[in-house]
Amino acid sequence: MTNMRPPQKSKLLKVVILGDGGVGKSALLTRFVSNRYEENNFHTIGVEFMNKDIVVDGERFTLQIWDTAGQERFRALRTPFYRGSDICLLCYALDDRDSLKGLTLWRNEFLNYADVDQDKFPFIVVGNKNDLPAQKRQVNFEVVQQWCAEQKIACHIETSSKAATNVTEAFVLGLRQWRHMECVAEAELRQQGDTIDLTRPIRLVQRRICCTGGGGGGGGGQDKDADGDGDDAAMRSAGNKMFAKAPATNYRL
Amino acid sequence: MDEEQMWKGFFFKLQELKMNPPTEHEHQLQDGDDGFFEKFGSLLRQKSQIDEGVLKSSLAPFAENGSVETEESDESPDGSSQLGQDPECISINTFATDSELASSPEFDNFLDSTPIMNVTDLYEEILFEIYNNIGCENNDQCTNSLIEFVQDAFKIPNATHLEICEAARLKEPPNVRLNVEIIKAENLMSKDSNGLSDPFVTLYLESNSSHRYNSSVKPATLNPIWEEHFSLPITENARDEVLIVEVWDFDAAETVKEKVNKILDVKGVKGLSKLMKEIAVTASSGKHDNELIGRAAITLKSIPVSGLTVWYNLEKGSKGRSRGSLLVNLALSAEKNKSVAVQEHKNLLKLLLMYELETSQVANYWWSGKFSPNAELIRSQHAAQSGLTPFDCALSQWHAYSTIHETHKLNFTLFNSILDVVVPVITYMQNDSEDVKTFWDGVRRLLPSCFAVLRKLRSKNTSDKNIIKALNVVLDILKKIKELEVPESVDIFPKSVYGWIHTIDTDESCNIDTAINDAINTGTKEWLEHIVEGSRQSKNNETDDEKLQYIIKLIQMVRSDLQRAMEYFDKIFYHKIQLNYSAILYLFYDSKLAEICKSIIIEVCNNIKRLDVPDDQFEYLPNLENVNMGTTLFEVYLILKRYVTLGESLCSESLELANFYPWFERGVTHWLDISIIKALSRIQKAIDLDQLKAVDETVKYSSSAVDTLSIFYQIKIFWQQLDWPEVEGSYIFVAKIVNDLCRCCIFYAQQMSRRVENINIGDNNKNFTLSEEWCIAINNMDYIRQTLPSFIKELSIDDIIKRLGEYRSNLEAERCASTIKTVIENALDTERNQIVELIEIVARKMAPPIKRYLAEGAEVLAKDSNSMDQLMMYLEASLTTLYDTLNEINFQRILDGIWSELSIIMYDLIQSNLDKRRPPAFFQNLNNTLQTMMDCFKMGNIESSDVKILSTIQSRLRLYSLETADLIHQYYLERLETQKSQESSPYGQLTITAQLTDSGLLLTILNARNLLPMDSNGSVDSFVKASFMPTSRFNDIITVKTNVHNKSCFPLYDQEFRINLTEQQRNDKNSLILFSVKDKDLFGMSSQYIAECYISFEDLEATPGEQIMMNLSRPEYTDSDSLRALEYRLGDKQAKDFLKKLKNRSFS
Repeated sequence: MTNMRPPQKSKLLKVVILGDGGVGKSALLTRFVSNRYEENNFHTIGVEFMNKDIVVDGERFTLQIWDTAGQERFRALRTPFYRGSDICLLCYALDDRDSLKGLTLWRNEFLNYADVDQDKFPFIVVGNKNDLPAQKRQVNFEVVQQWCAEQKIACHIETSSKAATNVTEAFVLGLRQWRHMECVAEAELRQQGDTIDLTRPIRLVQRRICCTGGGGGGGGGQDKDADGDGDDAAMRSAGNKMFAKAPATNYRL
Repeated sequence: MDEEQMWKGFFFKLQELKMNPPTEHEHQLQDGDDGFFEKFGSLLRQKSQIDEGVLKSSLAPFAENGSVETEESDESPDGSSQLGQDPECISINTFATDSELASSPEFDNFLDSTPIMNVTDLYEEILFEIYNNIGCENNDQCTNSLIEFVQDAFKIPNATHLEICEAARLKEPPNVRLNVEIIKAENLMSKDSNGLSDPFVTLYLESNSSHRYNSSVKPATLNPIWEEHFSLPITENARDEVLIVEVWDFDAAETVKEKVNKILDVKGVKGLSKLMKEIAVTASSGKHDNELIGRAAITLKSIPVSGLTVWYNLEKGSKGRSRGSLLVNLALSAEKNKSVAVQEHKNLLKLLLMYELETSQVANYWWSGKFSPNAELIRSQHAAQSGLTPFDCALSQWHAYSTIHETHKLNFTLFNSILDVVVPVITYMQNDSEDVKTFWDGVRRLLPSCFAVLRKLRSKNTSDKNIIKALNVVLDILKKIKELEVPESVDIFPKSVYGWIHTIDTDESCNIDTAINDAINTGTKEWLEHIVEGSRQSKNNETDDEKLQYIIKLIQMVRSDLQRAMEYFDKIFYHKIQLNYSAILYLFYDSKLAEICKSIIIEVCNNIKRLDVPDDQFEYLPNLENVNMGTTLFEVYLILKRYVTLGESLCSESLELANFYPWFERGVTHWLDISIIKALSRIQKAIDLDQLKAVDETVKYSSSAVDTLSIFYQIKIFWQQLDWPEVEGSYIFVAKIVNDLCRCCIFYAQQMSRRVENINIGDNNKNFTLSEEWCIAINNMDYIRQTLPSFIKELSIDDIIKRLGEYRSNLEAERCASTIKTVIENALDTERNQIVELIEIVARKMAPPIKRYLAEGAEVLAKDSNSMDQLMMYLEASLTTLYDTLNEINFQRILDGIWSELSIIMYDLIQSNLDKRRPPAFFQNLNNTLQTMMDCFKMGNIESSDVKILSTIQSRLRLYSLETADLIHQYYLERLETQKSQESSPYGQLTITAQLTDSGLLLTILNARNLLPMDSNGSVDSFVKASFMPTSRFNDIITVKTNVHNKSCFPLYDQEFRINLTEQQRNDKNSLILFSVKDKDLFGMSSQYIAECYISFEDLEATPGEQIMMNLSRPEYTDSDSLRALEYRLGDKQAKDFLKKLKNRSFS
């Protein structure tokens, strides 16, 4: 009774999944969000969008994940969706050497259109189809590690959407990397505090935090079903905040 | 408001906006971006529609400055300049003359081709003919003027002239013949019994009546048709001769049947005419009873040289009765060698025409076959005296005119009418005949100018009727010619002339049809090259926008050309030669335009700089210099789209341009970027300008909501205009648009909150007054939020998803659908949360005054103050504003918000005042105030968790407002409740009976069971003590005790007590009896407490005289509300003692 308005807050992060066609981006997303695996092979048309709530290290996050079509013909069409991303998953398939080579292009395309600082942006390299037998594997771990090192990408993980291994871990890895980058940026900001434009509100800390309309007294009215079924619903509406956020580039000077 | 209503409202508003001229407000709003959305949306649409109309009329014929024209302009300097003034002398010379055509005309050149004939010979012949003129026009004066004319025309010097004159005069007069054709007769008088006649014609010259010519007999008719020719030689004095024509009824000696039989026996045409002659001879010799029907006498003087076809009435004697009429063709001719005559005629025509053109200054394309009278007389004399047939004449004209046409253009109708005469005859001639050769020679000369007309169709304004006329005639000519078979020996498409025919360098054969096609294409090509060059200003340092403007101009010109083709020429082409003219044009333009547009558009798209889309906090407007270029690009898109639509209706072929849209992919993403930037900045501006006053009485939102929706509306129109043909692209774009619209929505809500939050800032000392602005802001947000889904619906996403399903698979379509759905749901949730947040802010701002009023109102000292009234006034004023301004949902929301704030306030207030050890009266006041407020808020209507919280607060307030004794009793009542709820007890049970009587209470303490052993021997020495509570109420009543029952855990007391109680004491239902079970210790000095139980008077009344078994319990120091309330009264001795006692008991 002392606190009648439970402070359900969650941070919103926009995640983009990139990579050549057929490396399993959509499968990764479907496994992560719905914990399903669809055998039949379909192509993403342009872009796809899903939400997922996740708690990492006691902190609640809502990931808004844009899955893009890998085919070249969608190139001009998908790039507008890169903007405002917080985390980028670069995917390749372990049985496809070319898909790893493609990552350089993907990374450049992303950097070009997302308008982010390449050294301060959390890229995660995800090798999909980890479930394949060893003889089908074309890309070995060390090669990827080396590529990552060249690109200054800190995180690399091998997953299997089919066998559901390391899928959530990949996203968690991304999250932690993002937080790490944020801390670095914040620290830098503090150091050079004098040069900050003081007319701009400091938003690093409280950014993307929204109250979940589910708890407390506010949520009544028309969305009763959303509020009705307890914590789950509260979390869901907590997540639905995709637009209410500032871009990661807010503080580049 | 339900959705439909809302939409109606919105569109009504929008309609209103459209009808009224833009207000100051709109101007301000659009100023920021030069009316970007209007431009991008509806304005552009209108513009593209208007453009067509304007262009159609403004497009001038391109020929005026075309290079092809320059050489022609020397010949007819008056050509175009006089066009407007004198329609009669319009020359069509602009079609003219290809540079390939033969060079400057030399008079004598015409005759070069005729070596056998020279001018003087022909001259002599003509003079000779003049001297021996035949026909009615002849007289001396005429002869002289003719001779003068001819000398002039032939340009014969005087000396030569006299010489030739003499020679001609001395020549023998020609043998002139009278050619008679008996054509037909009508309405003849009947001579036979059957009412008919069997007519035949007899004709003879009056001077030589013995030499008669007879026609065949036409049996049993009054309207015979003969069409028979007769040639009568005319000797001297032909002028005075009279031709007699008689129609007879044949009446043979033989029966008609015999005659018919005879006719059947006859073989061959000669035989037949013999027979007919035979019949005629016998008829005229009077052997039979032939009867004259009537006769006509014709003086030869009346016959003109060109001949005469005339009806004559038949007469007989002086009777005026009609005997019928006879149609006769009469012509005079001289006998002459045919081929020489034809040759002469050709040359004569050329000479005459040259002279005619020279003297009368007829403009190009204007002469249509009419000579001056003298020339015509000479021509017809020559034709007659040479005995030329109409075909001969026509073919000569064909030859002569086509030759001259090469240098001086004649009217095409002339050739067309000549063809009418020539073609039927030519068709049946041998390919190698001289006439056929002559004919095709003429065709070869004529065709280039025909094709020139097709090629230069664009050089004249269509308002010039001559171009239509000329086209009509030219197509007639081409149609007639192409139906003829070209003799193999003739090449009508010499390479030197037809450089533009695409097959000219190949082995492919070309015919009139392909040449027509090529002519049209060449003309189109020249026109296109002309406009391509003409509309491009500077090639090197064009800006992208200029390049796009160039495309627009180009397509518009091409389009207007097509439109002109469809409007004026298509019908003619199709009607004459079954050609889809504009389709040919379109196909030609298609590939060329595709080439030009593709490279420019792709280049421009690649040059597009990525825009810096601002974040939602939106602190700056990015630099948008190339936004206009985006607009132009979109204009190009729309124009191309419309152009392709036109093409698809014209041509059945697949068009290259139909695949224009992928060139724009980057453009579209750019437009979408522009849209979002513009939309965000305009929303910002709309909110800045918003007065936060309802737009009108019927609605509860303000101008920025309407403005924002009109931005959405324009985006929708943009999308509808774009009408992206390819489904996957459509989906991606629409996903982006939905995303952007959602973003705008959220942005609007954020900015609206921010705007309104700043309103009352700095007024901390004053009470927060809930202004209408807050409510309007909330309504605005809600209005936008509710409108969003229906707006998005109008983007025809369902249709796109459906098409995706058909194009790919349902699985993919579903994923796309769910993506869009998720995006929208996210936005709606987010915006709802923002509304709720704002409401919470309002509620929070209302909290401090509420709190202050409540606190003041509760103070005992200030009991008489008007704090309560003030509070109520404040709340009422605020609620009235809220109720009047907010819509229902949000009113409920804000009530919830206020209540949840109120809960916190109350809680804080209670807590802090407990800490201050306020007297119960304070809480009493507070409770009263709360109750009044709850009534005021119409709590019954609200269902939320807050209500429960508030009622908890209320019950607690009630506790705090109790006096200490009451509070203690409250504790006992709580104990009773706890006891009743227990199923069993470790301390055992006590059984009693009790009955209230008229005078008091009859209480029997029966027994106890399972008492907790207290002594070391495992047994107890128990007794029960009964006391009445609250003690204040039962001051005079003494406590009753049972005897002690030693060493028994199941003591049987069975002791009856009679206690006198007043009526008042009896009637207090919540009075309690407390039974304490105690253990008497060995020494009887003190007794040890075992357990206790309670019963209320209410329970006693319910079970009079029955046994009641009660669970025994020990008081525990639980977290009970009443205990806690007591704990706050440490200054109160009664409370302090009670708690001390209680603690002792519970820990013992």
